Amino acid sequence: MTSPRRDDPAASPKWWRYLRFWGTNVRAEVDDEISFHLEELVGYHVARGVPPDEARRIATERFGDRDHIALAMRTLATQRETAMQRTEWLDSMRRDLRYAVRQLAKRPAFTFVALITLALGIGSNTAIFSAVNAVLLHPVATTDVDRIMVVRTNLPTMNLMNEDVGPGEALDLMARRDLFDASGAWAGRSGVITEIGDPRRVTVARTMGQFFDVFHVVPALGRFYRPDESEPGKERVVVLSYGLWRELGADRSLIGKSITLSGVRHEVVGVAPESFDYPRGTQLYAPIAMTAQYAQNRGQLIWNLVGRMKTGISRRQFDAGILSEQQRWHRDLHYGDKQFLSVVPLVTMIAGQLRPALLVLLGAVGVVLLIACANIASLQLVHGTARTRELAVRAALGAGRGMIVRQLLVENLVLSVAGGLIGLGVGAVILKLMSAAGASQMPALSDVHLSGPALLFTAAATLVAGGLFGLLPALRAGRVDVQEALKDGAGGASLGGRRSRLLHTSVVIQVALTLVLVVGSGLMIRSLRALLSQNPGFSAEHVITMKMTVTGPRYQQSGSLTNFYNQLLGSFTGMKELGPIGFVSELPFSGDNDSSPFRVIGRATDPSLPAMHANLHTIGGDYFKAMRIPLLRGRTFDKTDAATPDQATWVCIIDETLAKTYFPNEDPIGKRINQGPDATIVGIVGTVSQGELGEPPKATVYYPYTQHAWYSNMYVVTRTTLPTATVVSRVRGAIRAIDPNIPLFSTQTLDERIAGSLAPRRLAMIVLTGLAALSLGLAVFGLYGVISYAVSQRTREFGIRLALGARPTDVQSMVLRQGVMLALAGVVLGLSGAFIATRALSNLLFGVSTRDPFTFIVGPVVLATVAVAASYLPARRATKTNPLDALRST
Amino acid sequence: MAPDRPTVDLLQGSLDVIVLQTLSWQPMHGFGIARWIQRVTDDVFQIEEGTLYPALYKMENKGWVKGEWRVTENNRRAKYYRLTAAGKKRLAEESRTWSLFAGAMAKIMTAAAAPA
Repeated sequence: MTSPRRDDPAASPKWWRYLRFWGTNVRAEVDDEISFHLEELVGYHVARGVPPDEARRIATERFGDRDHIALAMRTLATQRETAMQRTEWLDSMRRDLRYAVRQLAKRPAFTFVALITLALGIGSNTAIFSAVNAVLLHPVATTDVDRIMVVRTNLPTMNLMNEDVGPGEALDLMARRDLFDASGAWAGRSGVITEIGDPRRVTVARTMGQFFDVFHVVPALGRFYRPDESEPGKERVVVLSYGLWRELGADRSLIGKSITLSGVRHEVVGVAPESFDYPRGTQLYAPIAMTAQYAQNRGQLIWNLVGRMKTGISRRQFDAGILSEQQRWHRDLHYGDKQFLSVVPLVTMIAGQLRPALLVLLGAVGVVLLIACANIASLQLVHGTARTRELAVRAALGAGRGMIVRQLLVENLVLSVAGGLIGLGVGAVILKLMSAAGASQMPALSDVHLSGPALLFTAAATLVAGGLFGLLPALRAGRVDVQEALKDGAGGASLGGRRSRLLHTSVVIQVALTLVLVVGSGLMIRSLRALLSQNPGFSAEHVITMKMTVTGPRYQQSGSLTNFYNQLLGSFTGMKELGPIGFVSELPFSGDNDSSPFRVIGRATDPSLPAMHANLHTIGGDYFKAMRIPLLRGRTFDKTDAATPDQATWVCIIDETLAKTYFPNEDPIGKRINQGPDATIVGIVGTVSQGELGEPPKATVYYPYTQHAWYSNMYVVTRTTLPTATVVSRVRGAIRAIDPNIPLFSTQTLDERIAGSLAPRRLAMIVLTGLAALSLGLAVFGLYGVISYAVSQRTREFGIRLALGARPTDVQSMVLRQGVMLALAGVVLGLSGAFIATRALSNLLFGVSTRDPFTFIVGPVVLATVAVAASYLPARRATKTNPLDALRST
Repeated sequence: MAPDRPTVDLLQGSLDVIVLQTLSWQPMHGFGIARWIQRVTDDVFQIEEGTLYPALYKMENKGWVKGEWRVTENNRRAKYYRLTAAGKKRLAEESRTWSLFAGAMAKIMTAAAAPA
């Protein structure tokens, strides 16, 4: 404030108070009040005979520091203004909300369909987005996960694709410090911890290199072991997973203590952080004892090589580096193909089969969201038109365009938020279904929760949806010609030509998108049927499988394992009720596999060709009988194939695939192969699927447990009609009788294991089919709504037609024709869309072309039928038009 | 704003009661309130404008009084304050407290003998 005004209170400019027109002007009011007070005070003194100048001086002096008082008053007044505005805003918001809810409740059908549509679109998107986020984008708790690469082996001539690498390759690649910031490798094992409580089976990751450094993880307790602890003699250290540490009592003093892992004492040096779960489910990490001989081993494909790409190098440079290493091996060591390794990002590797399934579902929910938006848009168009009169009345009563727009926006916001909330519930249900469908095979899915980013995504989708479908009708409503709308009698305003075209377009789009989903899910169903009808080479019915791990100090000596298995088979012979029973080191569909190189003795090998590989299975008892794997030639193993150090008498059985592939023109019986030790082929059995139904068959060699006597993990397999629990307790009893420390676990029927291997496909099929069914429902609602609306608009026309002698069936077919034409347009558009979209499914399909004629015929027929059904009710209503009523109603 | 002295707080509290009591007769503007108090207390209480107006604004924020712009008998615009329902309630509470306090003070000041 300037000093002249202080001397003369009346000097505050008059225009100032006009600012009040734009709301309360705090400054002017305070000023006015003080000026009034001072003037009264001057008047008071003047009335008592004081000269005016003197009176003014006394008043100013008595009043005190005007600026200071005014400031205090302004501050207080501003506080009051703000509080009042807030209250007013809240009040009007509450009024708008109440009005919106009332309006929505007045139109229950519209509200119901809109809510369902929104909930579905938002819920399915949130669920799939959460799953994609957790499984595909952030599968491991680490930084810059995209820089972590996995190196895989591909030997297409042997049907070996995406396999692990051999120890020699892993060591050579890990030495390339120009390619990696850090690199390591792991091989999964299982072991048994004894001497801390009950014997406990644990999943062990044997590692080499700087395994933990790859992931930038810090131990929760203690330390991680160093790369040099792989040297023989130093390797007896372990790191516990956080989960195992907790199971063992969460005792900090465990660090530095020793535990017995599979009969060997190891020192606990550290505990991994709780968030670190790679390889998934690992409970214990231990370095591998690396001997010079093992380091030379190439071709035993059991090592997962993971590495963080060197900072600053590109993926292309990295791939070139990996290639140059292979070329060096080929040139200098005469080993391997010029290129048999591939680089895969870790995130892709972990997601595995889930990746294509989730990506397809991501596309599908995107389509559902589009359908939902189209549906909401057409609902709004139809109902917005019907409401034109209501809005016109409000406009006539003085509601401004802004008010009407705001009210409609609030209405849509209410709808969107409510739909979003229900959608979160829908999303949770979808996630639950997904993890239930895939939990056995895909543990990754079981701990996916609706995530924060997904919630944000939902919120954004909700608001955008609200804005999108709220804005258009609101703007249109604001433009309503009041007079026209009111003049137009009971029927309300009708859609103009442009608007009904918009409406029709939206229905056509819904039908088209729905067809894409229907065709996609049809292909998935057909593909799954085709897979299930594949013959795996064995009969899975009534086969119960269990896993045992035979470890402990007493199995260190040679022959001790064989003794255990001998005893076990001996006790099995006394349990005839169990049916044929045997065991195998790698059971089909168990996820285990051991692919090893072999050569045929007496046959020259060409070093420029990749080594021949075959699955290596060690079996005992009546394994073939239990699995019903047919013996094609020769004999199965018998008592004569006993343990003997003389490898000249060692035997093996090969499968048909190996026989046909590697002995095309000769009789393999009697030939000798080397896959470790030498062995003579004594029989040929049928080929079985190992990991997946319908996969190209892989060559397999079977060895008797008596000669290949170093396998401590075995699956017990029996074909029986007894209940699973009975079988397990008998087998467990037999094992306990020999050694109470041997755990028996992972009980599953073979059918369950096969079903598990199909889980990603089944999951994609179930979710896709569900989405297609729901979309079909939405499209029916959409079509029904539009046709009903069209009928209601043409009531007069139908009345005139009927009055002029048209038959009801004529009117009915007119309406039906409109529905069918819309549906047909949608089907034509949808078919072309499906032709393109189903290509994305090709990774998930089996035995069915992406253009499967059956599906491409049934899908459109289903949609067309549904469209006719949806148009039928309104068409019937049209025939019921009473000509007189229709004509009178104007 | 107000200097941090305990007497100010006391004054502030009593000023509120005084103003509320003043307004209980009829709505008045700030100058009128000050004059009325001066007159009733025979000039014992000299109300300072520096505390009166902020006190009025605070009471308005609390909802005890409500300010309205009106025209005076001399045809001038002035802000009149009137007591609200909340203000009346507040005044009743305050005057009860004051009578208690005044009565107790009177007993102390007029006590005949020293305590036994």
